[in-house]
Amino acid sequence: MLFDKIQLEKDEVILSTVRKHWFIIFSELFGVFIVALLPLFILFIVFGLNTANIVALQLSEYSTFIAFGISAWMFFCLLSAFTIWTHYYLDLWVVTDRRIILVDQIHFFNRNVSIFRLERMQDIEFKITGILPTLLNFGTLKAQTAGAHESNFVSTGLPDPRGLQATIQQAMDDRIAALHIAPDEIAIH
Amino acid sequence: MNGSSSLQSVPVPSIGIETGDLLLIIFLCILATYIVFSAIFHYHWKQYGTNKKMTTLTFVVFGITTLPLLGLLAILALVQ
Repeated sequence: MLFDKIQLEKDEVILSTVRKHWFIIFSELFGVFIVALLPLFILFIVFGLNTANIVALQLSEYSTFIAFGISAWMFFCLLSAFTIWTHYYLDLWVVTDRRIILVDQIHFFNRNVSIFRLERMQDIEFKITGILPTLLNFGTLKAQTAGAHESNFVSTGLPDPRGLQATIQQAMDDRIAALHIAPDEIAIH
Repeated sequence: MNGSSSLQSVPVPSIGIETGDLLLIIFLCILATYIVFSAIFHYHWKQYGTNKKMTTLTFVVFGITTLPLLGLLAILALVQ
């Protein structure tokens, strides 16, 4: 399992584990569902045209082909849905009292794991743009760390970004206090 | 035109595959895809899953939804 591989430090506590908002997976799976129904719509139209004598096709002659085609289409849609579910579930933020671990499952063979130490974090901002994100409370969280290049990380579609920002901010403050670092020294630490 | 008439006179090669065989070949390709996909799927959930209960549930739902459809494809391919 993932947490065995991340190897948390001694006495490190997981504060929060966050996945993308349910609306993100819902909209993606709904898209797959619509695509899955596509051959049935086409069949319905062809059947309608046949009944109205606009085209003359003996559909019963091809019934096995049609059933096979629709089943194969559904089958691939199902695999696609499971791929979406895998990417959704394995893509997560783990906020501990020392680090933020960002697991980005882009594709099956494209996985990005970033670890950011809280004492190096400088700026966290969230953005909620649009009607649905405002109503359903999800948005983008952007964080910046001190010093290193590629020090920004952005994640979209996170639920309750305000709450997550508060959790990270609190954890940062606690961590800095624990390390006895003055806020001005963070950048050179 | 000379070129177009020579094109028309070339006999088109054809491969004689029975419809039943064609469906069987397609089914075998789908089966191979399914086996590869299942292996990758299983590997990812076993390696990167965070919750054993959810991993098991995902495997069960995956089996319940895909295997009957695969069975249906097999029946249709073999019946033809």
